Amino acid sequence: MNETQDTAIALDHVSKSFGKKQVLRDVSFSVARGEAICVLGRSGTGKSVTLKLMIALLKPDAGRISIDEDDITQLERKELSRVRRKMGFLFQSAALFDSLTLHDNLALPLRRLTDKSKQEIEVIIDHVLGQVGLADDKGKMPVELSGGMQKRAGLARALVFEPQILLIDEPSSGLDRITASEIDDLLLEQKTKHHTTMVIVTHDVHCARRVGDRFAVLDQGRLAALGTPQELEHHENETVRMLVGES
Amino acid sequence: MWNRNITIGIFVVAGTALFTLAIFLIGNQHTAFARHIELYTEFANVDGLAKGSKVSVAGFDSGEVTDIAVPNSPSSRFRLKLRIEQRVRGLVRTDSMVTIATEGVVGDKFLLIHQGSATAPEAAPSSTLPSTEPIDMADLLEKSTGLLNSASGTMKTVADKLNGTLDAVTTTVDNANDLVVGLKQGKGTIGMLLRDETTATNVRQAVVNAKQATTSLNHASGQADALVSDLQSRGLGQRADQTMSNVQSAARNLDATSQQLHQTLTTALGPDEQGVDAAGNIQESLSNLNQATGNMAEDTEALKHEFFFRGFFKHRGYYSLATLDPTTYRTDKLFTNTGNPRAGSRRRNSSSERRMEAKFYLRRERHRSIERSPSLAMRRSKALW
Amino acid sequence: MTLFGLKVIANVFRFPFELDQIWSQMGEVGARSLPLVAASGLALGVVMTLHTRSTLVTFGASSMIPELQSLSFFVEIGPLVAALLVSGRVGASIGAVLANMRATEQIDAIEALSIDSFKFLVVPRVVACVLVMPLLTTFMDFCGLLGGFVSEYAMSHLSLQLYVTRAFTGVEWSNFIPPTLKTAVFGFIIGTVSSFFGYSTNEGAEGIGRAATSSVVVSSLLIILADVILVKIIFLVFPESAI
Repeated sequence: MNETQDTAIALDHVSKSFGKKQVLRDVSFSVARGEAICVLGRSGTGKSVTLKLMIALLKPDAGRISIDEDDITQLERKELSRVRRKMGFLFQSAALFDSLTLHDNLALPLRRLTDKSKQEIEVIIDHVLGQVGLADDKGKMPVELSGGMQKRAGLARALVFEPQILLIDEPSSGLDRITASEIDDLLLEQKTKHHTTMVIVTHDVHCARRVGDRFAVLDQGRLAALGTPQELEHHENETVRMLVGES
Repeated sequence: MWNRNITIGIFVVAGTALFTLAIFLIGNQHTAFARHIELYTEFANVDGLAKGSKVSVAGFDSGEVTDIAVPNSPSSRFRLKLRIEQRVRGLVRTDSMVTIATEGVVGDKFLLIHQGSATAPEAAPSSTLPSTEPIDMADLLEKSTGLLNSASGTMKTVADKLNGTLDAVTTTVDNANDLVVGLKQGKGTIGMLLRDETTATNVRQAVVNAKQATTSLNHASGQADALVSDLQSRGLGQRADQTMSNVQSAARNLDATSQQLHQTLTTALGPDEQGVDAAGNIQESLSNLNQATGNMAEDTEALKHEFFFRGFFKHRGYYSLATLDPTTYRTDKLFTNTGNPRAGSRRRNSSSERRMEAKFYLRRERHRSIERSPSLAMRRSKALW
Repeated sequence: MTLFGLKVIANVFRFPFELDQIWSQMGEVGARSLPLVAASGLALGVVMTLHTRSTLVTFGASSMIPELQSLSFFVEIGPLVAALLVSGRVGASIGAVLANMRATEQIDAIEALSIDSFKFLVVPRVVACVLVMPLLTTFMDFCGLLGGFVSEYAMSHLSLQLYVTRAFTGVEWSNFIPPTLKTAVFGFIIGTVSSFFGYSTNEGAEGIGRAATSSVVVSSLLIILADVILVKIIFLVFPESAI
């Protein structure tokens, strides 16, 4: 296996700014297939932006971003759509469509992007919701769900296409420890069962240590460190040590 | 989900239905959906009708003008295509007259198809109905002007006749004058006859008649004046006609009067059947002669000063009895002339006739100015209604 | 915003047509605005008749009340008031909903699911507004007539049939169809303006309120301006519709 086949995501000298504010400066790292990378960093250091760049919700000002072998910064909408089908995105706020029931939230992408029959869609939805433990709640509207349930529902929606890559933004934010660890369990299960490549943006080192193989630490828009938790515990940068160290 | 779909469905269906209903109701007003037949009619003057103007059959709204074909020469007329509802077809017969009417006082123009007669067949689709041109104000005015002109012409004739009569009267008076002079000199059978009281009375009567004739002449002229102003103020054809016939009959009366006058004088001057008997009485009546002559002279004098004749006498010149010398009178070239020049054509240009003509000329001018000024004409025609 | 509007037009005819979305937005924009529009129409109808009545009775022209009522509703009141009401209700809602979706990353989520969020969220809303406005206007017109009739019936016991006959006497198709269809343009304005403010806000929760307010203010203003132009165009194209 050569390196390109092994790399799922590659960021190559990526910079991004909003107006005058430079959010990312010349960030380069890659994620291997089946690997789970946790992106750590202080608030406002561009973690979420990095994640959104990876699925082309934002376009970088400079640099390349490759998913498998496709440079997604250069892709046409149709091609991009093909690439995105391989990816799942769990948003910080779950971002369930609040005008649709849980079932329809999951059914929408299946109906629109596949030509699966109604029965097939039902099977998939039941399966995915079963995975996240929400099989009984598919008729509910998003507002009727608790925060943890919403997160799980969001994860379920990210999983309907059985993605090779999962991008996860703050899985445990706003959740109590127990609920957060339930989410972590789900992520671990994905990783071990389906060998899904994962990029997890989080503040929660506890979660990061459970799920992540490697950590990428962002500080002031730059990649401050990249390595296993053990390596980074002794990193020269104090901020890195503080972020990685178990509180 | 299902409930919402039903709600949306009802909303969309009801909205569309209402929209259609509105279209239908509006269309119904224009009878767009009823069954129609098409008819034609022609007008030289469409009087402001336009495409879409209402068509009413016997007062019942039942269609509209769908097309107006403009003629390409003045000799042809506008051809109007009408669309009327099938159900009023029974009322529209081949002799149904089409007119242009106005809705209310200031309303739209519309076409009115009158009911035809029951005996005429129903008008076939695409047939052309007869039409009556709208009454045009300008036309009406033109007509009344023509009428006034003809009245004016008639007046002129009347004036001529009046003049003729006047001349006759003048002749008569002249004759009477001659007679009187002859009598004063005691000459001829006529003088002898005039000695007779009856004849004198006749002559006097004749003079009175002449006076009456003059009065009625004045009256007739006054009447003519009134007639003309009446014509101007009303302008109604029929009345004008009637007035004209009045004028004519007045003129006829005048003729009759003057004829009577002539006759009377002829009787008085011509040979009398009873001349012989009268001659017998002449001597007895001689004492009365001077008195009669005096009366006659006074009458004549009065005639000379009477306002109507005054001008005439003045113009012609006359003998004043106060200053008359018989020799001068007899040798006067007027008197000695064999063809009596005083009854000649020269008299026709008397001042009174000229005055008369001037009067009518003025009137004619006034009519013309009415014709010329449309606004005045309009005001006048409005005042008429 | 102009670019945004052009993008809407360009996207309307591109596959997929999002018929489901259009349908459900028609419910959102149309069916749910109906009570507001109908109630306003009824009330306005009553008020209009009360006003015109007092004036027309002075001239002995009370038989013209239905005609005046229908003409004023068909030609201007129905289209304009309906559009302003909808811009208030729907414009605010579209602005707020889209701004909220933006703030809660729902729009990103849609994009992440490989769905064209513009086509999925904006176009159906605009199309629904365009389709629904003429329908709502028609409802408004009829409710106005109904209100007028009720008011007139209370005053003079005019029969419904006579009222309807008189109401439609002086009305031409050109007095009804073009003014009603012009509201499609108003619908386009409402949909586009409020989608623009909702879709392109990026200020989180605070931006939601601002998007809603801007949507209503700008779309109302644009509707009135557009009305001036549209009325002029209608008079130009249908000279007979000028009363």
